[in-house]
Amino acid sequence: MLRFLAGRLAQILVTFFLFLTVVFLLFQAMPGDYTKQFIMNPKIPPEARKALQERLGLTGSVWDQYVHYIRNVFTGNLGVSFQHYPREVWDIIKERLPRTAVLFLVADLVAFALGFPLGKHIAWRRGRLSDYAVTVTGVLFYTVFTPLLAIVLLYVFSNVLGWFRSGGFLTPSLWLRPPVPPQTVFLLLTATVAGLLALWGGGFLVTRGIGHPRPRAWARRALVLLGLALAAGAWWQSGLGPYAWDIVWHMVLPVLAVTLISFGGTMLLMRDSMLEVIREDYITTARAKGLPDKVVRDRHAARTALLPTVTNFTIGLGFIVSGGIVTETMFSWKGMGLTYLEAVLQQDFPLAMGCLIFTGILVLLLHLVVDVLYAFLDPRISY
Amino acid sequence: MVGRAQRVRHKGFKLFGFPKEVAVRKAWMLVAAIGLWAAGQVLNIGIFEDLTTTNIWARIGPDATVWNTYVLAGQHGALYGPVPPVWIWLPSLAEGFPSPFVEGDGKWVATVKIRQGIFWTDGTPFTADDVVFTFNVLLTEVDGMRMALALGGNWPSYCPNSLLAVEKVDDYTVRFVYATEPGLGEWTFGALGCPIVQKAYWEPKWQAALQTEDPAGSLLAVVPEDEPILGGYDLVRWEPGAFAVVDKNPAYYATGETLVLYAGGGAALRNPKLNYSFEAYGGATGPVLYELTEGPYVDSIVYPIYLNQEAAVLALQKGEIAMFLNPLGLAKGFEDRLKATPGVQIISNPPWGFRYLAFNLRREPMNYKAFRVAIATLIDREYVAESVFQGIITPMYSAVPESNPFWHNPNIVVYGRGLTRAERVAEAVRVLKEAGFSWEAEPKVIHPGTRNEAVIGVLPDGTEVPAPKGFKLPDGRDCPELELLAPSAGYDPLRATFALYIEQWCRELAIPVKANLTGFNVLVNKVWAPDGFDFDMYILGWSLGNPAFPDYLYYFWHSSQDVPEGFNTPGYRNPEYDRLAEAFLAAKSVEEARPLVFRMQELLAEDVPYVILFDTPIKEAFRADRIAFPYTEVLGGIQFVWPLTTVKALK
Amino acid sequence: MAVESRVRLEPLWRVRARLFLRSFRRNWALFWESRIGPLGLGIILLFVLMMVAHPILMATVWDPRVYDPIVGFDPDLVGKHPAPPSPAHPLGTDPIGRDVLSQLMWSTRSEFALGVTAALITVTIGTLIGAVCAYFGGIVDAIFMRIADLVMLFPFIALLMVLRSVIHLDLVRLALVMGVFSGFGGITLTLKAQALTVKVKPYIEAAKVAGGSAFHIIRRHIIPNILPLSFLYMMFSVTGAVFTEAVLSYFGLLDIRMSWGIMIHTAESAGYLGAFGQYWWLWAPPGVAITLLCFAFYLVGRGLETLVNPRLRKR
Repeated sequence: MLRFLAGRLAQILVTFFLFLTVVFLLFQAMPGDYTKQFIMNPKIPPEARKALQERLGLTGSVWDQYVHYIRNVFTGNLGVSFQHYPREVWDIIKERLPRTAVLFLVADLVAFALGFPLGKHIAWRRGRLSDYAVTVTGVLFYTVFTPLLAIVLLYVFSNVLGWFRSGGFLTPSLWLRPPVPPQTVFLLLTATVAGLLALWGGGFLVTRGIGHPRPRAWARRALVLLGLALAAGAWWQSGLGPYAWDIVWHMVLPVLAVTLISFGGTMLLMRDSMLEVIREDYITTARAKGLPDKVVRDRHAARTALLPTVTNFTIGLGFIVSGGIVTETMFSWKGMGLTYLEAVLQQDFPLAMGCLIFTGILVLLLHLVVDVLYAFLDPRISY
Repeated sequence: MVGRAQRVRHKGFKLFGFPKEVAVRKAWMLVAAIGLWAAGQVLNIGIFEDLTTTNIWARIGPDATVWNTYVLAGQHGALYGPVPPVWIWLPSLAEGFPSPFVEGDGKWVATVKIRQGIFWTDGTPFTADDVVFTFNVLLTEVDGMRMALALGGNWPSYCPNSLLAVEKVDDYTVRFVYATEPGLGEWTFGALGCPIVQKAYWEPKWQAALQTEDPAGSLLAVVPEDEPILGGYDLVRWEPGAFAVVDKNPAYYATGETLVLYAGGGAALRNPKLNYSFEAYGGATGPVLYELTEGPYVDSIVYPIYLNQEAAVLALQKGEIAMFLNPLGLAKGFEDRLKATPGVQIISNPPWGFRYLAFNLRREPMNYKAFRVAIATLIDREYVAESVFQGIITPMYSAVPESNPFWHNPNIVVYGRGLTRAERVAEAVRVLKEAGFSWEAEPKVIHPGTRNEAVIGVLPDGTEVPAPKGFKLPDGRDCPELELLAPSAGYDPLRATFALYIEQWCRELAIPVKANLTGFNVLVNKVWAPDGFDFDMYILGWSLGNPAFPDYLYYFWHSSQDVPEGFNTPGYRNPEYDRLAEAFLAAKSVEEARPLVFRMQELLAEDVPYVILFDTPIKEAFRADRIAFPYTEVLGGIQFVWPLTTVKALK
Repeated sequence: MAVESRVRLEPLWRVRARLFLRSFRRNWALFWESRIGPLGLGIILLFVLMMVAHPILMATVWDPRVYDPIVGFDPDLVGKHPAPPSPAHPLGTDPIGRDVLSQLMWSTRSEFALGVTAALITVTIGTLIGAVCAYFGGIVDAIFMRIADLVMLFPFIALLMVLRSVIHLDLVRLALVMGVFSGFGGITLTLKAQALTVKVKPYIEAAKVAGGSAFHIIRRHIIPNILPLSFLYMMFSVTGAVFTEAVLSYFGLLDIRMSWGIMIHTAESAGYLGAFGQYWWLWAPPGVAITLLCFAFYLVGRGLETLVNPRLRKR
């Protein structure tokens, strides 16, 4: 196992290095540079432009710039943003990442929680009308033109019903004198979601010991409720409740949009994996033993089918930046995706590269996680 | 990062002062009831991009975005400035006009008196020391380069190369020393418009920056907190990605100052607080045009950030915001929709800019004046403006837009103006033939005077007119394929469509023009290619800077700018124009400059290095039940009524 | 005796054709049984019809000066654009007076061209690499797998946003870039996995023993066996390509003169998008078209899955 991990890490390093090089070359190939924007103001003399280029590190040979850049990345320095000169890229990512993280973590979890059981059910009811109806609906949402969905949601829930604001992640009037900055609240929210997840997972493992299905189910439900109550209580006690609530309120529409788009993927994958598993001998055996359908489905089939679904889910988490570009634009949610879009449009190379590098690292790490997950979850694989 | 501007100087409203439980409950209600929360007068004004800095050196320098200007321009004052809506130049921190220049020792010296009784927000008086300090920072040479250049952005124009020193005469008098007698651009619209910072606050930071390897970088990196200011509004909070808030400065020196503008061109300034009054440009002559009293009347302005226009329009309709700022104005669709919203008022103002077609005079056949004239003749601005775009664009003809009557010359030649399609074709063919151009099959107009008259010999309608072909240069060679670069529909559908029409009109005459619609960056980098201009024709637009002094006329067409990455993209070289442009920059008064500008416009219109095409009127919407402007007719739109010290909140 | 001679007389191509027909019938039945596959196919046919009808309409009833999707303009409605649907313009006109239906139909062709070209390139590259990697393994495999890892690190839309300033992205180049890029990406992993299952089949061993060259074995034995899966992925690739183009056009980032994405972009930049019901003809036709075409190809893909993966079949 350790040898496997070491080998994998070495591979990851090589891939990452190549990735950095490609990113660098890509941005080198972009014509012009940030200082080109000064062409729009003839009063800026060429000397001033030269000075700025020097300050932004745009002079020197390509090789020098490359060495400089690689050294910087490996020492954790992503450079200084052009647009927000002289703010550090890392500082900007730190500011915006929590916003994107909470949004997509919640949306992906909800989508998973929706897609997983749905996929399980329709696989079991294969060929019935409900199977077709749910599949077609899932595919439709999965392939819907995202901006269109966002417009419809905004129109219905914000314009007609007036339940939500038309964008942004907080209500300015509430946040004029906040006790803590929104970043803190975003981080705490992420922690809450993670905590609830951990509680649920832990509870799931602990309650496995309970023999009877019914008390087990009750115990699990009680645990979930307890977790929710605890979280709500803690937020209330901290005095940050209204602030968190404001952010959660603003999250509803984007989360809904992302959920609708992505639950189909999970659902269809789950359905297919289930169908494949159902053909396995041990399922036939379990049925032959006269076990109830529900037990075979949930305890035998679904668990095996879970693996590819979880893999897909985990890897999908890595693409929150690109996925965020559309969603975040439509809902005025200034997170990583929008930051990247703006940086590219403004030719703010360090910031755009920083976003890409960050995504790259995230995806690589998640791939590693998936490998380890496989090792743990699939008894057939050993390293 | 958060709360870098978190500072509460005075409490216009008190909300979270009560015990926690109450605050919590209140806040829950507040989520639903936006807008009822403040005791003081508050305006909500939407913006579309976040601030990028709160540091004045960065804001005027590398971070000079329009959004930073909207929110932060109210902080710092300048000695003089052009005053909207008539753009006359008046003292702000200064007392009266500067003295005339006197030569001595080969240097040119003028003095400026500054007003007494002005205080910074920390209670210390504003004196000559602050002005001298500001300029000394800009004039400091580090590694052979002036700080103004090292800081970049707009600083070089506030501290021109000919400025040698700024010295204190006494606490309220400053002396400016120039190497040569400065023109309007270096003096009136240069150094005298420079924002002034407080010496006491910045001196230690500046000294610290000087000790570092890169003083300019260090100065730009300062995150100011509690910086004393002079202006009407001060930033009190910035929540990155969400909103910014400015509060009114209770110590603002100009509060209560009235400015009366007269039809005769005169202006009268009266500040009871400083016991100061000033009259200029003939004073009280003719009826009163505007009587403006400075506020600020609003306690606080919140600038929520909307990342798409749709959301902002919705917020305006719902009354969440009183208006939103957009330098390009409202698109037609938003206008149509907002017209129907009660309480929303839409105003239209002429733009201060133009979109144009440029020819590369260094290449064939664009170097033939006849060719340029023919293309200009073919371009039917009125048809595109009135029919295709249904009035959302205004046709333009002169290098100085009509909207600026002081500088605009209405009597210039406009090729093809008022002609029908058929007449344009006939005229273009005549001009081209006269210059020696020829065709294998010459274009002929068929069905003149009917709906189909514009169609040139391509429709078989009984009449057998061969389609024009084989356009040839005067020396008999085939005309090469010409590329017309224009922004793609994604960047600007108006220019993209206009380019397609020009392509079509040229192709009807067998002039091989091919429109190439590309992304903005690609286009700019082709036109301003590092080793020379690489284009045949292109369409872009300019926003023109200071309406009181159109110095772009020099930069865009003077031969000295015909260098790689210069601004004379067509490569226009006309000795007469050069002389006029130089004289214009060196002019000592606008009256002296005006006839020069008129003649320059005539030359440009005749030689057509540019075909000025059109621009869009600036449409802006605001809630007339929330916000009141002292005037709404202003060149470039009410976004130029900034920094909102004369604006009132109504609810 | 008679039977024998008949068989001997029948040329090989006819046997092949008959076999093909038989397997086609069987597969068609399976495809039909999936129900969602035929639904997708039906929708695609509808779009094909639209595509074919456009040049015919332009040549017969539609005056090009009015109905040209890019520089058309209806002078009879000056001041009324965007005009709501009317007999002359069944889907109304856009903010600068062009016929929406004509734009919609005209764009269908480019969407198909783009989607199918990109998908073909993707699948061709993916199949070749998958087969080669599976057959040779070793260093060849390692190189291509690292490339695939690398490609998968890039968020695709984000990458194209940068590429568009490097190369002038018109429709053809966009299709090329998308095709090549995704061809080297994740699809190689899937196809390689499939090829590996083929590689261990006894007949491959037999072919090797019989002295078949690597090229011959890959071409005649491995590729034909992974082609169905490739075909399936092609459908998903079409969805991906069309969607990507639409998103980029919607953001105004492509240099295409007209497409469904551009139509929505035009409506948006002119400020008509959020009025929803009031100007529905500006955004609904292209929006629904993008969604439906992506949806249709995806459904066909899903339908084909039952052919490729017998475990997904009912029985």
